[in-house]
Amino acid sequence: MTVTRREKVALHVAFAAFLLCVWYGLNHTYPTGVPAPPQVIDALLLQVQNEGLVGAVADALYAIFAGFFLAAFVGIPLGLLMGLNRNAELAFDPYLNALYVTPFSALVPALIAWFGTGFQIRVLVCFFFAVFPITINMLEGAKTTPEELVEVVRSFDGSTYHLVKTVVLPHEVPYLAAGFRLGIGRAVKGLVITELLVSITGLGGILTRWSASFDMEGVFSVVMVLMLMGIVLTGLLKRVEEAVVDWDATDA
Amino acid sequence: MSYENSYLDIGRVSSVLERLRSATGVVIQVLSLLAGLIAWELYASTRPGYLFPNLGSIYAAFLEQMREYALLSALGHSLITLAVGFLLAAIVGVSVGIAMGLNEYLEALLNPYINALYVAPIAALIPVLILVGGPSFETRVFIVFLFAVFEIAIDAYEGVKTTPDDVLEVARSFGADRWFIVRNVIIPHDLPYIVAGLRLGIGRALKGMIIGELLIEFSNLGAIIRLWENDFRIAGVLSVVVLVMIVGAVLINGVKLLGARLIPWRTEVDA
Repeated sequence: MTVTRREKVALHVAFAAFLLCVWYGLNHTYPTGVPAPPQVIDALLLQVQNEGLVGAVADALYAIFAGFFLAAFVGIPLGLLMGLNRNAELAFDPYLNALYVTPFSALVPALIAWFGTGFQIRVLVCFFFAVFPITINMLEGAKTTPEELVEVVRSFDGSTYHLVKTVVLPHEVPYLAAGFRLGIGRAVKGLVITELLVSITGLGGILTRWSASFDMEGVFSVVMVLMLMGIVLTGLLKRVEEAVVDWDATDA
Repeated sequence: MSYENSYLDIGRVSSVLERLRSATGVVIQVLSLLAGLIAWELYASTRPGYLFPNLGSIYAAFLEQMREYALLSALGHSLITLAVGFLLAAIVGVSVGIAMGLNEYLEALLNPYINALYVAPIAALIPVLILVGGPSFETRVFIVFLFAVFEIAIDAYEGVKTTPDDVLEVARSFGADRWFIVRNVIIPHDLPYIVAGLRLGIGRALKGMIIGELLIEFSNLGAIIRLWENDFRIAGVLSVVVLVMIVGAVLINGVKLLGARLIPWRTEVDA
């Protein structure tokens, strides 16, 4: 039993039509709660023309990428160091674990007090969200470097620098690519949380104004922009990952 | 001279070395944590206390919240939301994941949506959910559910899809019917994946719980954070953050241990 390509297309067209029907049905039953798709598009255009939506999205993307690059800048050397040196791994391990269980949304009120409601706090939260998978993947990649390759370098009296450059780093590439993909997705999540909780500037500000006056169509449009941001950026890095990684290191 | 009577017992020496190694490991971790705490204290001593509290005042805030803000009962109510939402996510996620793994039509239909929602920032949906569902218990449960369900579904699906072909073939060549294979081959192989999904899912559920409470004003732990934030007493924000961190660590490790208990044949899966 395999699904053919034509069946797949038919299935998706039918399902999309079904979802659209459900949407219009809900709009018909709860006209105030669920806006119709055209209303959402109107609200989106209004936000683009009058409320600086494009600028807010650009600011958001800027914060996401600033946090992401900062995370790469810290996470790559940190993960590599932890993977190569057991003592370093032990020393930083509690902090990585703490990072994993920290509820950043609960921390945002404190971060607002320390860093204000502007660019800084967004970059910082994006950084903390993205640095975790990048570090963990670099660590994982360094630790799974095939033992026999390491031994070959050692037996030819290769230096650690040589070992890292010719064996460990090439082995790391697919791990790092996956770390980047996860990292950008998490950076978007961090941004969304900050936008929602800061709620006076940027996308969060636009969202709050529309939701305060119970204009659902404007809330829907911003929510869609935010969700799409996460899906598109992750998809983009997935493409990069597939283009860069033409071998499967987990098989090595 | 046989090995047993040899003067130098290699086995014992290496076990002593191993113990020494793990002992230094503990020492390094403790020192590293101490360094972090001392750095915090030093920085805090240069800043105003209401803004950047030292560890003592965070603990004092914690005690005050226990006494006067019913912190533990707030935590209890928060955890009820968490439990209901997580349980629903587990039931729906595991069933949908397994169904998707077994049926190719369902897989072709749902996989793109579940993958998209898995990477999408679910938190963005909260404003809509609040406007539609109001600031109610059900809305918060639904937020917890949404945060956890896609992770759980994807891992359960992954486990079904990675069942080794040779095992399936053995079962088939002995004439096992579909139901028997699902019950005795696929599900046992899937269980470690399901546990991994539940472990990651409970962490996400906890984050959904706390952000739900922060955005829907005045419920449980979120309300306590908001009260102290409005008084500009950051110590009270941090004390709740630490409490939630501890709860998170306990829950994640609890799921892990439970998994190891229930499925002794294979406990760890990276998903």
